[in-house]
Amino acid sequence: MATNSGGFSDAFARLHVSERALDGQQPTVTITSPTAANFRDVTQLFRQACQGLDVGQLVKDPNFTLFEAVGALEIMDPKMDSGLLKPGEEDAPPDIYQPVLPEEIIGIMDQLLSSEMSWHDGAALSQTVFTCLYIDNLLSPNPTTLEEARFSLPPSGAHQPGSPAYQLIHLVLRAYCVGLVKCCDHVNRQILAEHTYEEEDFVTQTYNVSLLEFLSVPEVNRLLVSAIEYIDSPAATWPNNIKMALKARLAFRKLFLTELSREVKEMVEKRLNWDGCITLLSTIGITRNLGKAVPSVFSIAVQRKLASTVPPRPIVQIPFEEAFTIVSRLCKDAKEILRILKYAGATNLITFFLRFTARKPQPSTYVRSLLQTLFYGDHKVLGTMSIKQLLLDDVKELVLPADDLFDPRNDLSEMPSDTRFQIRQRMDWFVERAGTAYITMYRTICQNRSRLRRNLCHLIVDWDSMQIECEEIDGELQQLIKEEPVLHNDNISYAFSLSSWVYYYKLKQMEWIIFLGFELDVYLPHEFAGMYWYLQYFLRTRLQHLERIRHFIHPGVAPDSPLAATRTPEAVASAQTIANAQATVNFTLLEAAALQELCSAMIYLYTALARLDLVKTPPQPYSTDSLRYELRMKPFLTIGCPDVIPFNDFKDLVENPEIQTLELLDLASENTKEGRKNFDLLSKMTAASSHAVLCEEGYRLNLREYLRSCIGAGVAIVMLSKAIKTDTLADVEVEIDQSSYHPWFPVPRISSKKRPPLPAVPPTLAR
Amino acid sequence: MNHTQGLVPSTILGAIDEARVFTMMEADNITFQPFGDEKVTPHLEALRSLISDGLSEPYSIYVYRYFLHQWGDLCYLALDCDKLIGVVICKLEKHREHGANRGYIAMLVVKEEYRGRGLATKLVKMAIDAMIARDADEVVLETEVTNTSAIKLYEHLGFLRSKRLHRYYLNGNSAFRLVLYLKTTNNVASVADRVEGEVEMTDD
Amino acid sequence: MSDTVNSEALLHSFITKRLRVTTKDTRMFVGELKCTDRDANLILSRTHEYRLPKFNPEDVGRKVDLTSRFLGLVVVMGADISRIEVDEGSGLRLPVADADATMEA
Repeated sequence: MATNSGGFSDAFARLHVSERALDGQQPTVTITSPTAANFRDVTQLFRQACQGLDVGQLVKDPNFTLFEAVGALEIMDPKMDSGLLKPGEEDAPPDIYQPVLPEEIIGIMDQLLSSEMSWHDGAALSQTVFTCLYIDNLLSPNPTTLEEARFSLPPSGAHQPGSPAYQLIHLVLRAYCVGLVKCCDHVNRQILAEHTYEEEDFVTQTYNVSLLEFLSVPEVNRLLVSAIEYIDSPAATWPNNIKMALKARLAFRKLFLTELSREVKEMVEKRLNWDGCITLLSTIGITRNLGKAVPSVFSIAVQRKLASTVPPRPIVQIPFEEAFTIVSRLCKDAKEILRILKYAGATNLITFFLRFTARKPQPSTYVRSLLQTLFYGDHKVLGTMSIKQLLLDDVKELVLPADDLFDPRNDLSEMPSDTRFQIRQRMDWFVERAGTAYITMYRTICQNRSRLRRNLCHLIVDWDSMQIECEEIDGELQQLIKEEPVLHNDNISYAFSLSSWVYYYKLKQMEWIIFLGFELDVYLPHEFAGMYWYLQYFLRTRLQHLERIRHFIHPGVAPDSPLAATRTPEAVASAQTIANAQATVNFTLLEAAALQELCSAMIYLYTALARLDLVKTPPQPYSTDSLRYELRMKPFLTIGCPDVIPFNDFKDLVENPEIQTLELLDLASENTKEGRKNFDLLSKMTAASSHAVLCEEGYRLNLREYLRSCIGAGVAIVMLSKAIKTDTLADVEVEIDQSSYHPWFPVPRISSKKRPPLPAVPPTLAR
Repeated sequence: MNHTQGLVPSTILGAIDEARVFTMMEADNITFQPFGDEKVTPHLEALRSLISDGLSEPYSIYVYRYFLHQWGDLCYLALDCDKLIGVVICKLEKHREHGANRGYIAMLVVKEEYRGRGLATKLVKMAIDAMIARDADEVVLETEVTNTSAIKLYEHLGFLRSKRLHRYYLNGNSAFRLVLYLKTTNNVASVADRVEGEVEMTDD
Repeated sequence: MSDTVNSEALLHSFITKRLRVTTKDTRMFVGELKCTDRDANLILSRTHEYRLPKFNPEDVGRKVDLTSRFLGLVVVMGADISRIEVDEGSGLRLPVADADATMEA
């Protein structure tokens, strides 16, 4: 049942979820025509019976809970009843103004674009496209053929059939509207095909209104072409610039629809023309001023007709400039994600996903959904690869396990007693187990930032158990291939390649959870030092782990390995492959070290600010520091390794009570210098050695933001030290700047109460 | 679809020092009392219009009944003589089968002309005290990310933001989930319980 | 038996029955009764709204279609109700598959 039952967040979670599952479905209720029923008037009886009840007493279906009742729409309440008429309002569809001027048609087209992009931006169709009276007229009653998808408008003298004014509406505007609705249809299909959150990211609800699903794209395109041809014909006697403006809008619709309706196969074959859309958009932008807006053809009254289980919502129509920016960015982003088809290894691919989705503002829901399809549509990675291929590429790029694990000859063995058969069994298990988790990680990165953080809290639990499972498999594999043990940190040990790889990604995801906490403004300034301490702790763990990985790259096997004789020569890693894996680890080490330095600087800096009472902790009478610590550590409490440390140890490690404040600031200063050095080194590396060939600009921009935070922290440290030394702390003011720096490293801006504050570090400084 | 997905415990200015609050309340004849029961406390209509004026999200009469029929003793009213000027509405139940005993602050409103005197803080404190008396493990709520005064009020009681909820409200605004732990979980079993609750992180 | 008990029993007999509730603005809501209280604030589930078209002199004496739409779970406050009718079930039910069912006035 598609009720509008509400979710008070957590408490209503289950309901919420089941509702979401039903979203997009039309209510499948079979209703009975009231005439066929036998209704008896019971008004008096009913009311009298009610009066026999006590105040607050309810008579209800025992299967119906008050919890369900929470979602009910209250009829006659203007906030909830979309069918309620305002005093004096008539219950009739508003008369549609029928323009005579082509300028007005241009205006309506541009208003429709604004509505469409408002929908892309998160508003419902009932607030946007469906509020256009022309769209409403076109789609009601539900058409089933292209012929039926036309306007039924009252006749008027100015609009004699065949006249240019008539054709303007019934050919040109109609073609545009059909094209636009069809675009919405394909956008909805795309969004529904991938994982997105209804309402939160996008509203796919269509309120039982057809989006012309039955029409084919070529049919719609023919209609658009015939409208263009009419404008080109001598019958259309408008000025050339007007003709150009109308044609650009129709042509854009045609091309946009074509691109939105592409199959995965076509995308993979790169038969796309987003550039064409972008070119036409520029013509639309130039001719924008020729249009004359007609606000009266949009009306909230349309909501009265929609089958809607939600309260009425206001019309949303963003300004044209904003809509133009959104649609332009959509086309550019949709083109940009095609870069992933130039596959250059798994590490490059993941860098692209991270950088593309972290962009501010975040790429639209549509594009992020399309990215998921391009990545793993039709159950193929990038249209051509298996999950196994991508997964093993990643494993090889980072840890490079022994060759025998990947020998194609393993696949030929049918004998269960055969070593190769047994290796394959374990590798198959690994591909199955880790493959899904690995693909899920990419798709999770495509979610909105709040969801990304929340979903990662889940994922790390799975990666944690996967790590333990893989350790066992690693142990079996090292026996099967007769791996040679190696001395590492005074211990004889083995590579444990697969679990090492899992551990590496688990740690990264744990870091992201805290970093995203900063980005999403979840932490208060007085918590910063503690949260950076945990980041530094995770990063230090990852650095040690990377050292270990480096030590065990491409582990050797005993000379008497039974596989040596039958090893496929091509399966043996080349010197170049080994060098590449080492280079990857070295790069990753440098990156992690740079972040760790910056985190350490932040711990000292924010601890100093707390000591100086420049960052204050609120009174918090209802809880204790240790309870709040427990709440903060909640995502990590079940993670086996690294451990959540006891609160008292944590407190000491963060607060460093034995170190003087000035000393703390000196340490922080050292860390910023080291961090800066490392970020400088990273900036000098090529895109290829940074694994950023698919997104070099985004990658470099991110590096510059880190650098700015580093420099900003450095400035804050100097100013604070100076204030301590000159005994002028009383004049100092602190403001945390979340916006001018890297979103993961907000910087305290120190200023004197007597002087105007210094500006944030200008971007040019951080080059 | 959730037109009621975001309750807005909000729009109040909080935290003024206690001493002043109580003097002013005495001077103003402001009293506080639990809602209790619809029969005993016939304030439901006044309560509806107070909340309807104060909060953006629409609620039917049965939304109030859902809370008040089961948790009327966790709802507190602020009255100036006989006039209703503020209210907090809550509930308390097990979060998931073996989860924590979770209190939830659903709505909090103080009439505009009475704001800035700490009434909201007082109401919330009374509700939390009542939840503690009923063995609550934690208290949660959501509030709009832009509602800084409400966020500050709760953070000054010990709440932390645990997550951000993207476009949580009907009007498209995002929310913070605020959480207050009242009890520690010192043994392994109860830690496991808590983490059980963590599963909720993706699906609420 | 007290009045309360009688009232309760009578009201219980309406629970889960299909009601046609007319509001003071002449709209009709057809749905299944889930709950009521002293003020006849009704909760109806799987509700469809029916509304009369604009009065048109040409329609006098003719049968006109009501427009309808699906609303799901609704509350209709007793104070807004002008008529309550219960479906006695004539056995003449015509299932209509979509929410655009029309009815004659």
